[in-house]
Amino acid sequence: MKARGRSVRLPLAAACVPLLLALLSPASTVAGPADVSTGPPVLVGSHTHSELAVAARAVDGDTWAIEAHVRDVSSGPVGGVTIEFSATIDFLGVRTLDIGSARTDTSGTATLTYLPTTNGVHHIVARAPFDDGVLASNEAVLEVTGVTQPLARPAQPLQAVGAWAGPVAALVVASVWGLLVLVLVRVVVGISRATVVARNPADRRFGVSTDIEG
Amino acid sequence: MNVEQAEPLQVPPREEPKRALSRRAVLQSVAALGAGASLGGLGAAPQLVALVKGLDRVAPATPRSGPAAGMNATRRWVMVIDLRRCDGCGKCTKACQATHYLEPDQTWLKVYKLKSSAGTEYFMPRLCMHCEDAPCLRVCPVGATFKNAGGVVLVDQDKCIGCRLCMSACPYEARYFNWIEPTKRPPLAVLPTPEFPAPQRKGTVGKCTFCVHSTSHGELPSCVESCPMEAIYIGDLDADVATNGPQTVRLSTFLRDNHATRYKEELNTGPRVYYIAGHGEDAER
Amino acid sequence: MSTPTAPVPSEALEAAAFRPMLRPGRWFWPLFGLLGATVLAAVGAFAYQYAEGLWVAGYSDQAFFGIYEANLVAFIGVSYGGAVVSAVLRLTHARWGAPLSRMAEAMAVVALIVGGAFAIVHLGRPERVWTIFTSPNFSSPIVWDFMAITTYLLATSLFLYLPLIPDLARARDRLARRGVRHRIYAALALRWHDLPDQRSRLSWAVTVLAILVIPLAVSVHSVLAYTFSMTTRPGWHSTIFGPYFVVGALYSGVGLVILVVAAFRRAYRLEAFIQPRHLLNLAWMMVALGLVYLYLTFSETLTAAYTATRDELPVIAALLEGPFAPAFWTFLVTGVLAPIALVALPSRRRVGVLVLAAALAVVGMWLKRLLITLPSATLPLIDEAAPWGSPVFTWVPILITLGATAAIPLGLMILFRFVPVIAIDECEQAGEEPTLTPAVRRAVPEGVAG
Repeated sequence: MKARGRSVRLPLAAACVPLLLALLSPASTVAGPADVSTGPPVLVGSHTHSELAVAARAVDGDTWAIEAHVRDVSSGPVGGVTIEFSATIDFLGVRTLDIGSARTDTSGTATLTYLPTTNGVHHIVARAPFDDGVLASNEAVLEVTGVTQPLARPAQPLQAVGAWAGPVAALVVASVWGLLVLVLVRVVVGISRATVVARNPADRRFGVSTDIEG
Repeated sequence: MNVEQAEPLQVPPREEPKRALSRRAVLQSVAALGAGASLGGLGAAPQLVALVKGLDRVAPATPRSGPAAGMNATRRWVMVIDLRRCDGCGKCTKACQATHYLEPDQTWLKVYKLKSSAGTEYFMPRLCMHCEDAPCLRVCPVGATFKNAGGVVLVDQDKCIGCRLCMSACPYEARYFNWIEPTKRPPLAVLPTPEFPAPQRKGTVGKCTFCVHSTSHGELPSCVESCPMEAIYIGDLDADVATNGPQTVRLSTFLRDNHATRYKEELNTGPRVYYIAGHGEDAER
Repeated sequence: MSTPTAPVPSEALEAAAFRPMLRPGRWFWPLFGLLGATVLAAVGAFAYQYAEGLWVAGYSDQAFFGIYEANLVAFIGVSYGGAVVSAVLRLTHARWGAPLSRMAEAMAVVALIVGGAFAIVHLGRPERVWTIFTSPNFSSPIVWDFMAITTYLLATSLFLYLPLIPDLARARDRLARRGVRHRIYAALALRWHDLPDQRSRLSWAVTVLAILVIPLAVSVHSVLAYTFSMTTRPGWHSTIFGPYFVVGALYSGVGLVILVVAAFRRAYRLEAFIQPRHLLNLAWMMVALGLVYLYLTFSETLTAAYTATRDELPVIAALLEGPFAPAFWTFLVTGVLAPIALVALPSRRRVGVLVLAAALAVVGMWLKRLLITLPSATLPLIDEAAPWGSPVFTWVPILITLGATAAIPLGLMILFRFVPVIAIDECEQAGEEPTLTPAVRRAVPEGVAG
């Protein structure tokens, strides 16, 4: 795990453009949703001549705003600087994921909307690349504990037909079996009983047949 | 070409509800027809039975509200295969067979050498597509094939009766039968599980597991790890992240930017394996 | 067609029907031994396959369905023919069918049991087959198969048993007047004494069963077809498959009824009761069904071959002009066209010709089932240039198939040792001559053989 604050020495060529990176304290300014923890205190990178500050701020739902502020030595905003953001996350090991880039506006602020999709500690690294090197780099740490937005959708169990089909089908099959058994029972009982009745000489309902016994 | 479209920084929307609903709607009509026919002539009963429960073997979706520490409790695993990088070396197949103790002809991950319509040859690694609406799962008579919470289609070899209907239902030739008593066994005699079915069992069917025994411990599948070309990515639709080891990408953006396709999309099985075609590969056949 | 059977003195009929139950003919025991040995050998082959694994049957991942699945369809198919022939004859009051009904119904039961056995033989884990009933996945066509087949087995068994009751009573009263055999007949005959009430109940039950058996048989063969057509495999995924299988089953089933009737007519000397006319009537039924099957085959082939999509073309080309073409055209010429021609030609009056036609139809339809099963099961689905899977017909499935084939005549021979081969009572009822009323019959000296 990296140190929370880190300064990068400016290349000589960049020294003529002094930047001051100021620190905002965003997490406290916007109340995040209850299940999203606010980010840790913003970390500052400092240098003799320039500073890049990066901060994360919960905005809406699970979305975070990653803000990088570029200031010169006199705390004046520096616009037009492209800041590249990446996140170091835990995905089958420690992985570094590019999450986008943004340019600083006239107030020296570059804002990136970030939707964390994994729980755990996210190291957000902001880099101000310059020519071949890195002008400045700094990072913020989000601790995401309740990623719900992408996960909350109820998983649809794949189902061919509704639950009613089972009972209906069972009913149909059972009725076929029932009919078959009914046929059997009716014949067995009927044939057996008819003889019993016929054996009784008093009952002449089936008159023709009493004499066939034996 | 059927490309997954998604907004940047947004997780691709789940697709199965729409497809499952439409399939369900259609089948409900069919079932109603069957019910009518059956009640008219009771003999049609078994056809109706046809439409009974659908995929009742799908593992119940875990409710995923509330904070979960560390890794996500569940994943929706996918793989992405960059055909531009695959050189057909076959190391993935060997690694897979070594990991799962398979016979030489049991190529759970098979690298096909195909010819595009333009006449160029290319290689296409094929593993189990772990379809959202898996045909194999639907036809299994005893529910031996099921989906785990991460959407990975697994086979319970203690349940499988070896009817091979799943093999005929699979459009991807991804299932392999154990025609003989397996000759390879893990050195440690552990009981095979659906997640790590080693050794294989005679008379049952086996297939790619997306190496859930590895991913559940935060490790890469053996094919991803073994690919020298870094062509195979393992990803999670929910986390919207995929990695081939050295490189980690935002899954939705990666798929969109590279015009990823899924194999035999027209079959509506919703494969969980995406292919990135480069120069002339017929990713969709 | 509806000419009633010529009046046959009931004692002659009874004597002819009881004779095989009393004294088997000269050839009975040798034939019994031969068929029994074949069946035993098949059981041994199955035991060997169970111990060794399915590879001994010539299966492989590129040929995962083959001869057992074709047998399953073929044997259950002929069972269907027997039941439906009998049911249709009963429902249409075709009285000429009375001497044939017993053999048709018995054949339905025996062939169904033999065919159903292949549902177990083809499994990789036959010992787990019971789990289909304990933990069924109702969306699986195989579960539908098992539900349909068990229902149909119950129905055909009843369909055999109920019309048998009067004959069992007759056997109780006249054939075996004492001893174990008498007690068994007495128990099974349910105190049948030919009372009007008994007869009306029996007639009701048989009619209900005849009505039920037809849709049940349709359902059995439809779901068998669905086992194939519920996959996306080219050649199997076809809407025509349900009716296609049903008609094919009827066609081959009527063919087997002809063979069975002709065989027992000859072996049990029933020429006086079963005349060439009976066989010819059956043969006409077979021809009609054969024509429908021919049409369905044409329709299916044309539909697939005309569009010739990338999926369908390999299968249809393999059948029409590829490796399966010799078998396919053999089936078409000798299995469908030849039987139709043989029956239609003037030579049809000879029983031998009708038997030949029926035999060609039965064997041809078995070949056709193999032609349905094999191409789609061996077709490569991803690499079209790859070689097709090659099923190997080893001695194991060949022996098991021979054993199953032998099991049908063996089962019928055993059955007809205990029950009359001809439905004596039904023939009498169908005759309905006033001279054959029960009262007159009772005047006839009891028992044909003491």
